[in-house]
Amino acid sequence: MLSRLAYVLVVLAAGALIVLVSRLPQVQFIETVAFEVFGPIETGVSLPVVRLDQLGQTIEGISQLRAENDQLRSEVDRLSAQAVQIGELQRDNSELRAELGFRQAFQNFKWIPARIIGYDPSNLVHAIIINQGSQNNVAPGMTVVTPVGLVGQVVAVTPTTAKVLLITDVSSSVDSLIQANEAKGVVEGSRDGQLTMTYIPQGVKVQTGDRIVTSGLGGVYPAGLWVGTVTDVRQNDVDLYQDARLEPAVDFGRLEVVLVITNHLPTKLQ
Amino acid sequence: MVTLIVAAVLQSVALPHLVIFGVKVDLVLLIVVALSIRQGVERGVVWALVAGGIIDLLSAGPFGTSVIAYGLAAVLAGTFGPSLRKASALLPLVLTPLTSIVATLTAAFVMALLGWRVPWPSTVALVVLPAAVIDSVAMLVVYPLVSAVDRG
Repeated sequence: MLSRLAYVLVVLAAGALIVLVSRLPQVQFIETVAFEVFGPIETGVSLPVVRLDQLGQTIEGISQLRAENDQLRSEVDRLSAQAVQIGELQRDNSELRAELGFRQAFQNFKWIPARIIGYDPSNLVHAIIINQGSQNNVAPGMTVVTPVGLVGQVVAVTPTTAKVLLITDVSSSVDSLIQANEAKGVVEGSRDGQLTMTYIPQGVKVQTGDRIVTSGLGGVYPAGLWVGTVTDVRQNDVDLYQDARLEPAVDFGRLEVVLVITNHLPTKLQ
Repeated sequence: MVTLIVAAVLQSVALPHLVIFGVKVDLVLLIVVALSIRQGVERGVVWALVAGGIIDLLSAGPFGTSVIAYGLAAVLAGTFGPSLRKASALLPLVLTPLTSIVATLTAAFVMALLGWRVPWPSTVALVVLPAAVIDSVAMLVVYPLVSAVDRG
């Protein structure tokens, strides 16, 4: 019967060995083959789950519509209802403009659509699994977007699937700029799923509603992709830099299909 | 083994749609903890190594993180669980928040060691503690199910 300390040591030794061995290129193919087994399973399971989720949303939507209907019946002033409708149309309009702008601005890029078939099982990593892999020329380092804006970067691939680290992950950092004045900064993810733009020089005017786009600096992401919108600015005269909180351009909670840009890879610095 | 694979796929595909307080239930960890409580530390550690490997395959994080995290949780649950179980059938459930905290903190620590950015205050406040609460509540359902399967 091993002592408690011995079990801890066995676990740590086994774990450390696995971590070290998994980093050897000679054995990484084993991880790829094993992960490949989960691709079809996740594809098969994710579809009914998405449908169930949509069914739940539909049921939820019906109850919301009933409540809204009751509320509207009780309202005497028809103009307030019209104002709500105008607001919805404005939001739809801005989303469509963003999509059109993306298609016009990035005509040089080639991309393939991919469906999300899974999410990272860990609470510590914000990542998704998509149903396109090396068979379709998807490679680590490629940029993943939606017509609205930046989603993340491919970090691992198998022949039919790929893992994408989202920009909301705390390990993610994106060289970005404020579209209005082209001041540069770095957008980092956070545990609450929001984004923070750091290293904005003091003296630069940052306002709520400012659009933040990728700068292309470092060659990791293409320039001009919408990252998010400023919701709050933290400025202190004694600090070297100011920070801004961002609302991500992409609604990660409703993400189903993404686009993988296949003809842009990070620049390798010698 | 099949149960663990099914649980891992559920954790990757379905549970992200059920995020509460910003975290999802670590179903695979709960199964490992429940099995460790029932079967003891030796078999618990074996389950943990297998389950951790499966989760690491599905994660974009560094491989081996969950193996170590689940392994330590299994040692904890397997060491104290069986004796608590003798006192009362449900008493071992008090170990759930502790094992959840140990597993998440260990995973974060391993990631930090391997160069991943881990902001500790927000990690503890927004991941470790909410996960401990959610996992503890979910264990009230998971533990009886695992017990039923284990008895069968």
